[in-house]
Amino acid sequence: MSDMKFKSQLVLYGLFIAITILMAFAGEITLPVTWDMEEIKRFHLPPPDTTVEVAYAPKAYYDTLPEHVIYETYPVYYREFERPGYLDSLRGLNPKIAFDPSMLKTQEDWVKAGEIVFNWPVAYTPINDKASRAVATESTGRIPADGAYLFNRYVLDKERGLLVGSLSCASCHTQVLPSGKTVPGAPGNVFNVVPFAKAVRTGKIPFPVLQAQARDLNFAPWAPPSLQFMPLTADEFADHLEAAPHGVSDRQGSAYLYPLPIPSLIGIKDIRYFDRTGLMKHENPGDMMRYAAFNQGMDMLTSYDGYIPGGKAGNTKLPAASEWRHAFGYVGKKYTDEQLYALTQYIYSLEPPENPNTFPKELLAKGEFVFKKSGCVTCHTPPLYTNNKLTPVNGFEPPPSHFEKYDIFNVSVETDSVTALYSRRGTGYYKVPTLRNLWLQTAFFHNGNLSSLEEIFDERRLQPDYVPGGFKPTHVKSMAVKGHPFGLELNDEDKKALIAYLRSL
Amino acid sequence: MKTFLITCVTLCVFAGEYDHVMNMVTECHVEFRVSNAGLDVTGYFDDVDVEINFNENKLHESHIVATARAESIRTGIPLRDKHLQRSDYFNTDRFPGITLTSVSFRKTGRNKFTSAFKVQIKKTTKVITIPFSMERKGDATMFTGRFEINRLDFGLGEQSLILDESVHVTVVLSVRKKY
Repeated sequence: MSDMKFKSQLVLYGLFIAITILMAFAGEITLPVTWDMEEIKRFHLPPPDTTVEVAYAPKAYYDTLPEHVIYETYPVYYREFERPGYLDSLRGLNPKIAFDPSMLKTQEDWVKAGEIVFNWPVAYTPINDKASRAVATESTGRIPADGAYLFNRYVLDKERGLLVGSLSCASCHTQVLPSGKTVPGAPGNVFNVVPFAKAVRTGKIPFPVLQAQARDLNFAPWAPPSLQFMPLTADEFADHLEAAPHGVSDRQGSAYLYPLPIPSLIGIKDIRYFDRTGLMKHENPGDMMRYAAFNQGMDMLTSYDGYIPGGKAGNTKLPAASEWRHAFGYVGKKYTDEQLYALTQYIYSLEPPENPNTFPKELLAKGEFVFKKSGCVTCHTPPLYTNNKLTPVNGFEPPPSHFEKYDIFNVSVETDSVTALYSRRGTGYYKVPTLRNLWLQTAFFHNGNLSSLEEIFDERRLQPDYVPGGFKPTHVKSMAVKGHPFGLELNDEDKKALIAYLRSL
Repeated sequence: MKTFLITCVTLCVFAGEYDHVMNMVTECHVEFRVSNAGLDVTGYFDDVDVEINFNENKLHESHIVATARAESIRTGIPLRDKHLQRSDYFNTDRFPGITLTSVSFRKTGRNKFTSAFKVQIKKTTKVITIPFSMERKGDATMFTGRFEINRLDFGLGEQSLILDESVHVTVVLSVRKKY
């Protein structure tokens, strides 16, 4: 070997070492792979009917799907709060890419980028209006101090101009407190259902289209034929929309007329299962990335005994990438792994706001005693106020293999089991919910039938003539809200103390 | 949900009467106590069957067999009781009874004894030493024994941050002569 060749090899070797060291110091992140089939099979729980064969969209297919390019977005304000000329001023701007993974160097960078993803709408409607369509005086959503309508954000598009964007993570996971303060990650209460219900009722959204979409959203092949899976009339559906209180959501994979409570994302890093039914395990950021990918449309491309909710040819075949539509009908796009990873880092960083509730120390001490004495502490174990386990529902007996794979607290608390048994999100279990930051929650039990802690501990709810304060299907005048009987027998003083304690968590 | 686990074993028994071989059990309480989140959870078994042949002067001929119906566990919270019957605790579908069978007796003082018992819960059998006392009241004789088990030794639940592994059991038994 010549001297020259040796020297050049030495230089190359030195460069390699230097680059390796630099990368190590720069804190290079190895991104989890979202669509990793082995990981998907590990983290996804099966349906309660073990004869159902589930097949996820193949990786080769996933890789062909179009990706989101995330631009700057701008707040939507209620008309009463919007400054004159605001929309035209936005039209004067150029679209600017907001998420650029090459710029992400530090953990703080990833968190900030994740906030952008969190707020990125995935459905868009072009508008030519001069002023906001959102009217505060007609809204059912709570309005923050600055008058923003937090369900939507404006997006600029080179071809289509100004768009109203919706269905970001923030749309459902943002809460406005009575003080007007905004809390990202808390169960949402900003959605104004009035325009949507009106569009359904007046036929602006053609009912057959809506009905077909509802079927795709709600039908589970293993559910009994008697279980309704789509509305029968436009009025019925509009009534249903209007009956759903804040804090619950009809989402794809739920059973029709069985909406799900919106969970708090604050502190979710510590929670071992996603979804009310524990549909997916949460063991690492990759699992949260997979959860987000499924919930942004990939669950509609999962096959259940050959039935693909978002499939074509009678729900039997995967659509071509260009044909892919999200669960709610708009053009489907997937997040990149970088976007999803950033999203997890932002969500993991969320902190609860200061609890405005104050109670006398003696009352809280008594409440804590009642909490322990009544057995609440066993499932809702501090410091997370959940034991992070799954409880089987009535009608489901965990197979022996589940005890090896999952964290099971092997008794049913006898709440309604439809969601766990007969929806596509069903697993045969409900997750023991955390009671942390319970004061931010307004929808209780698995379908949000109860709206307060007082209702939970009111034994009248067990009777068929009870009118629940939360969600109630519009075709019934009253209904029993059964199960989870803990605390029903407490005297008024103990209940008051227990409720105070729970609101302080 | 709140359920916990508790456990216990029951063993009712120890009966005795010096002169009389046969004894009639008139009362049997099997209670247990376990600490959960720093507070005591107490409970009992509602259905305990005892067969006794106890003679203080013929200890080598004495024997006691007690069987508690595991389903009869009561802790004051019905759903908790239901959980205790499931496979992760007593698994009452497969193992309906908890049995305690005497192996030997030893007198340790005036009206005081120690016995070795085989305790069977689910698939596990362990020999446990149980001290007990005897008190005569009229024609009745009352026996009181206390002991402790580790619930994990018997596959009752799993390790827990809040639920203690030690379960304290108290057995009170009243026996009358049977002529």
